[in-house]
Amino acid sequence: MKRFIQILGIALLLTAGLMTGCGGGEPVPVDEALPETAGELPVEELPADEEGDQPLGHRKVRLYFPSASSGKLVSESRDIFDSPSPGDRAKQILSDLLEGPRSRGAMRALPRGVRLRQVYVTDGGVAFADFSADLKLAIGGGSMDEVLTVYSIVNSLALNINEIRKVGILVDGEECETLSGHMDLRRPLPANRRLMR
Amino acid sequence: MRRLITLLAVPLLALLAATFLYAEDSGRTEILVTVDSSGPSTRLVVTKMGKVLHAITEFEDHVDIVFADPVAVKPASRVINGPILVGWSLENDRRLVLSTGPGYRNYESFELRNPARLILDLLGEREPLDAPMKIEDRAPVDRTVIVIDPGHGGKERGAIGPSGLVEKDVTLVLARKLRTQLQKDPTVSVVLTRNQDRFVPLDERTAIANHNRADLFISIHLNASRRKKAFGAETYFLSAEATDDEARMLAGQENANGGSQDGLKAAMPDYKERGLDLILWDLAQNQYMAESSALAEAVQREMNQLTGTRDRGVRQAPFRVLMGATMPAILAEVGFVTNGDEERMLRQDGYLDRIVHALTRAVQEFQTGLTTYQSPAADKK
Repeated sequence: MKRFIQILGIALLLTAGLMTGCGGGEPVPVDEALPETAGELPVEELPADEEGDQPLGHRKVRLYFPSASSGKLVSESRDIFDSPSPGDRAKQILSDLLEGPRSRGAMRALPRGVRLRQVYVTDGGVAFADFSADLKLAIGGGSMDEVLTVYSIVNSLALNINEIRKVGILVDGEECETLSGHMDLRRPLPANRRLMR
Repeated sequence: MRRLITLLAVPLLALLAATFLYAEDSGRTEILVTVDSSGPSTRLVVTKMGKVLHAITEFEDHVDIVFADPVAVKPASRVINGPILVGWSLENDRRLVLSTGPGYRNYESFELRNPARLILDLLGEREPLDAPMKIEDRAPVDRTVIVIDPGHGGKERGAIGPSGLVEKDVTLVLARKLRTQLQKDPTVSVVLTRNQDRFVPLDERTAIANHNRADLFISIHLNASRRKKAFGAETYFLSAEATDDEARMLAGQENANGGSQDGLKAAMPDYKERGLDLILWDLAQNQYMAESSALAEAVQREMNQLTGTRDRGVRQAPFRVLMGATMPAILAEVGFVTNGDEERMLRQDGYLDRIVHALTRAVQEFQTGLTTYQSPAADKK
């Protein structure tokens, strides 16, 4: 009897070992299974490099900020790395935009503290820029700030990156109806040239 | 020997039991399907797809989304019964069949990441936004109907000035005064989208205008800016340019080719036939672009005289409240509540009266201008 119990005990241990290994575990959450940002998985394939990394050239872009003296956008030039991936260029442009303007004639496009969560460009030429939730909270009431904030982002991407025709703005990964109650953000927007001086 | 058999039998039996227990859930990705018809298109969103690849194919009377791996969805099918989407159902664990209605023209799809989801915008002819609720003062048919929309309301206060002036209160006062002024003309009937301090969703405001077969839609707001010096009026209208470069390009081509669809197709031979109908019909406001522009110009002209602004003018932006309007529609920002001087003036009844008179004159100028050419707004449906 004693012998039998010993063997049963070992058998149960074996069973426990096998069970944890097969199908009894938790499925991997979807979000973690996907790559984080466009920087790690660009939409189109990067060319294979036989001789090792070539240094990237530079490209001049124009960032658009709300004017400090009128209800329009003003531009400032910046240098970004000329990456073959449009998503990568978009990420650089938005990071620079978030840092803020350098001249007195321009104001911040996005409130301090707002983070860029991710940006990616689809095959159809639509860029999606995903910001942290503070983007919505920090714009107070009026349509002017909302219009200029949206088009600072849209124009900075669409007018500098050939592959981008329209820009969709997401907050916390989700599509939004408006930013502060006026602009319709349900569908991606093309650049608005009339706002530029 | 017996011991050996026992040793092996228990785990093997347990394993067998486990495979039976878990077989139900293995292999199929659980997806979620939602449909939203409140926007400019009927939007279908498929979420929780994980890494499942998919392909979209369009047929005569349905659109297929075929998944590379089996999926599961609850419920397995839904009837919507709209002019664009009749319903959807999942077949064979892999094919999501979207049955399209007579109004369907084309689709656009977007793939978002983190979390992974597919957005399918089904575009085409749809019923204009309509209000399901009862409108007390539905205007009689022989009058000119003007819908005035006091911005914000209820829990949505709008912008607030440095000394505490609240946008939603001022817009309501202005709207009521404007109604009185406009109705001095016995052929005019005015409907307010709200006549008390209550919250009204943006789409409902537009629906009220459509429901009342309004000839004009005017939304009244106060502006706000981080720039404290910003002052004066701005008038917005919606144009195809604000939302779609392609529409503007096609509209330009159409004029160049004598205004016929054949002319359009000749100009762009590779453009999908269905795409043409879609672009030209896409937004209800498209038909009223010229008139909305004229109304906005008239308002801005009068407001400029009143507030002494020169640079600020008529603007175009994809404003939600103007999107679904089936008549000339504008949004008038009558001043900056964030500007100390303007805020003080906006507290004065006399100044509000002057704003209202300016808006009334603008409406009259616009209507006089209308009679010089045929306009669809003149036809009551």
